Amino acid sequence: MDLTLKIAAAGMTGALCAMVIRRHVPELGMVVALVTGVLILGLALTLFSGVTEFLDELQELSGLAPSVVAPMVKTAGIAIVTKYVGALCKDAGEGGIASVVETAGAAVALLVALPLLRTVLQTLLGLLKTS
Amino acid sequence: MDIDLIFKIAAIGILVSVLNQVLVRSGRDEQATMTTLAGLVVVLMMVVREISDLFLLVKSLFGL
Repeated sequence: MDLTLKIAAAGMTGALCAMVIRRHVPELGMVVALVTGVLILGLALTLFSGVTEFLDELQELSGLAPSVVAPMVKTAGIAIVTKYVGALCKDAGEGGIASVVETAGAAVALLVALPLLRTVLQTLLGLLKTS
Repeated sequence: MDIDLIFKIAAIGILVSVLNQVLVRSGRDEQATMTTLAGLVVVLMMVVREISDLFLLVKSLFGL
């Protein structure tokens, strides 16, 4: 709860500073917004490390191979990074770059999930052969 | 999370904007541009480590 208020205060402060500076020096305003985002995201991700530990525990309990769970976590990471960078580009007035970054993120996520799809395909093929 | 960084950058931004306005008013447009550029470089030098830290954190956390 305390942390939530801290994050909210940091976001508001950063937005206000960015707004004041953007009027005169737009590029520095963007840097302020970038730093605010980086600091808050960093804090949020350090909190998230507890969740990944729990995910590892769950994976051990369920007996799934690490290659099944890893693509899921990786895709989440890719989505977070590409979404943040895309929004930043859009804020800077570069909607084209933003959409390209998001498309690239989708492509990379697909590439990461490919081994998983291949596993599903092989399982299906095995089932078809036995029946 | 050090909020000080945001305030530091905001202070540099205000300083740069004031210098910019003074230089533009006195007719030295190219020096005003150089001031803006210098401010941007200084701020980026401060920021680049934080960005690198964030990306390293993401890399280690999500196993990318």
